[in-house]
Amino acid sequence: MLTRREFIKRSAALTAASFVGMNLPFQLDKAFAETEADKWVRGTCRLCGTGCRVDLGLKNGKPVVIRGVADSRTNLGYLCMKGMLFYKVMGHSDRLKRPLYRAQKTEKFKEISWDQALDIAAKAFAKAIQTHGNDSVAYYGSGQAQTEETYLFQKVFRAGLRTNNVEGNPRLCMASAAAGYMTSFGADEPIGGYSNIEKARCFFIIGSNMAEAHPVVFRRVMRRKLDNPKEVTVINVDPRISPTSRIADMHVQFRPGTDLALLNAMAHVIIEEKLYDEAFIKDYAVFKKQGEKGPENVDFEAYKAFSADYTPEKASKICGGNVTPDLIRKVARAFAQSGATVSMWTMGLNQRLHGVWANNLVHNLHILTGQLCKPGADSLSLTGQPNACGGVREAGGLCHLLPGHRLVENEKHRSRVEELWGVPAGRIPPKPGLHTVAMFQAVNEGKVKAIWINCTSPAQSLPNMEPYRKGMAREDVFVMVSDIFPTRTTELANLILPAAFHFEKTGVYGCTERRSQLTPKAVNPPGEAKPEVWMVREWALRLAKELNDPVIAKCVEPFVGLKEDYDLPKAIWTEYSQKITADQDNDLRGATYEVLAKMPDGVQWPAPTEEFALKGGTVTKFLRGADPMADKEAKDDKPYQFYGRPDRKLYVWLRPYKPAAEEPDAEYPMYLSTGRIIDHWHTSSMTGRIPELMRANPYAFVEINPKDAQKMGIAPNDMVEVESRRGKCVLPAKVYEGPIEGMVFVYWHDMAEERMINKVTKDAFDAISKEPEFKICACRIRRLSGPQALKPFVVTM
Amino acid sequence: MYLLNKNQGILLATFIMLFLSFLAFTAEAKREATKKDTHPMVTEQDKLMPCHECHKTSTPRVYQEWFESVHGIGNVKCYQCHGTFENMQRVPDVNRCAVCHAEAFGHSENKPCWQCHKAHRFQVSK
Repeated sequence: MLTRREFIKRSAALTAASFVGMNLPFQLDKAFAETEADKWVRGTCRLCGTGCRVDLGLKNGKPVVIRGVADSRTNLGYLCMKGMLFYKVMGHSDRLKRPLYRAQKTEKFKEISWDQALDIAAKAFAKAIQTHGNDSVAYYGSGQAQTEETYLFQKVFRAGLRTNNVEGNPRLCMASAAAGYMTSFGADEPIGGYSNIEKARCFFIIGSNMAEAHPVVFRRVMRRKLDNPKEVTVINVDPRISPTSRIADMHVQFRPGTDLALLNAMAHVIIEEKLYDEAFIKDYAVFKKQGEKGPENVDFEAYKAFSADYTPEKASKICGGNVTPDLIRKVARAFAQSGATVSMWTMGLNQRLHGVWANNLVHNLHILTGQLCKPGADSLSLTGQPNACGGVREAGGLCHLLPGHRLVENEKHRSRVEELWGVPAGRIPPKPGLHTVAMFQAVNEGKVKAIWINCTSPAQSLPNMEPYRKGMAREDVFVMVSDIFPTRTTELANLILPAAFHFEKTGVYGCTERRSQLTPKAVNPPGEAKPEVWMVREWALRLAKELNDPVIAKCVEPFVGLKEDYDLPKAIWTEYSQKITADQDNDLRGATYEVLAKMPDGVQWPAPTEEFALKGGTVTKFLRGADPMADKEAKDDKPYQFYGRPDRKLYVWLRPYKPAAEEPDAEYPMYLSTGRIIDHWHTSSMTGRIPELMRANPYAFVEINPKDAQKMGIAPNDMVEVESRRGKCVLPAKVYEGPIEGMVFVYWHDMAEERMINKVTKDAFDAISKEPEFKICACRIRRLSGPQALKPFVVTM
Repeated sequence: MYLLNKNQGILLATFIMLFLSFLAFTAEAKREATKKDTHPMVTEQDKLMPCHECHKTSTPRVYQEWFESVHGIGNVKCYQCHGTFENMQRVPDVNRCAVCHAEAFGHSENKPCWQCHKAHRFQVSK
């Protein structure tokens, strides 16, 4: 047995505060039963946006094991620990099994029937609409909901309830990436995909700890690097040294937020040393700057003059850290001269006040060097959630979007969707709805009177969460939550609807690389839990009666009477893919349920025909001969047809360096950044209940640079208060050379009251994407005590 | 009272000795089995430390091999193969390899993976 001293010593490099007499938040007795499967069902992983294909093993109808699918072009058979263990969510004793209701949020929940629940839900939304208007109701969904679910929710809300208050948590993670693609390339989602990894000669990984957040994509990058150590260069650009840095040839560590200067300085070097692709620029690029009245055209010379200001010398002073002029030049040369550079990023660029600009600046480098549409070259945004792309960005899951990559504010787009839905013209309001922060501010102000929150926990995941928790706790706001487990958000609900989990229902997920994949129902949901598509349909039919509005019923009319296990989601997918995506850039007509069921790894759009879809779809967008849309939309004989815009051009943007919304000052002298850890997912409502995963990372800690720790007298495992102008947390310290000096880092999965770091983060958001700046705010830290008793925690009923 | 003759006594004594040996063997086998799949006793608080934090010092060679291997770089953690305390296997069931390496199964008959791909190094061959 270790002594306490040995324990503290051994855990010094990491963290694990000592405690006694704890109760683990999971039952150990039956959690580990493993056995051989007698049946395998193929689907997609429930967790991150990689899109790993899995075989779920069943024994006597119960899930017992998960294996990766070797034929899959996403994961090549590999899985991370979350992927191999998520089957333990099914059948967990904490699952929500029956609808729960309370009229007042101070009351205890009572079990009610589905009939009662749907009636209550319909009456609450009807009352809000009748009393306060259509925009007093809202839907807040998830990048983990299936496409069929998001599509049906937004259809009923937009055309049925006549509000565009349709949002989702991808606003918190991918909105800047989507706006970055739109503003730079004229079309959302990556041009290429994972297949470029095995052809790349340079990886530019910026703002992404992909080793933990996307472990299976990282494995491919790692394999490429280890197999070709001299030919392949890996550049990791991050204020924090992370497990991703282990494969890096160069780690660029800079002061948070200054990567805008770094990226402009790289462009400076590329121009100064004439490393750009002149022919590519001439054929495909135009230069843009943001004028007072909107985007303005400028020429290449103006862009050169703009980037001339970002000398490596100047940028290195802005960036700090280990950034020297020489390092910037080396990085720029490696990027430009490889001939096959893949950039990858996630929240480090997206969750920023200038997140769209940061995305534009990465795209700029690819456009300048002509590294797009070519083998091994791509500007590849890694998606956080499994269906943020497929369900939310493609199927109309944000307040400004209509399904099929259409825009609410575009009259032709609205008319077309109304026509396809068979609802009266003008039914979809012309004004975009409330984006996420605005939506929950409207809840705070009592302007939103009824909200349906599906498959996500904003009470923990919103930045600066405390005011929003108070808003959701208002007694005059009806909060309805559909989920599989109790969360911080179900704590604030009036009505909880028990949802079926992945593999307990049928539906499609669309991952990072434009790939749609089907997961069929394999097991029954527990108790009376139901698929969300069933909930929406039944609720809409009741709402139609309550509001005496047949158009609401019309929204779900094609789906009435269909069984929720398969026929219902199939009919929704068929309407969406065959009608809504037809001739759009995300054309999925070829990706029928039958085709998707045949494919080991789904289909990449555009895939207008079944014949094309059965070959896998479009690997490289805009490339003639590879992308049927590029052939169809071709305006000349050039090999690339950037059909996102009528002018077929890519935009190089002049985006200056601007600081974060809240920089450190004398009162709050440190940067706080937040992120993920490999063993957990989002608010840990699932992974916190899987014993192996919870035990591997039982509670959040604050990472502190040893120099800062020394200055403040903080030793490993000491309890430290992290405080901002908005709130504070108390966490054990992990002292190591991870974050840059002057910065602390906390992962956001922990749902223990004293460790939820979103009490501290800031809800400033990007002016274009409306995505909040989770990654940067000012804070101060202080040592409270030595190691203290801590307890892993998940919310239970 | 029925008395044994000499030969019967020798036979009975031999039988008893064999039986006791069998029991002892079985008990040892059970102990071995227990040892095989049971982690040395640690406190509940220790169980919340990442496995490798202790094994850095308790089995430094194993730790170092793992850390430098593709599993170490790729963040494939101890519990993914060995399980955690309640379901620990000192020598993992080969089916655990199949979670990621199902396609490699069958390329060598009747040999566990680690006979060629040394445990914790995971190189293509020993």
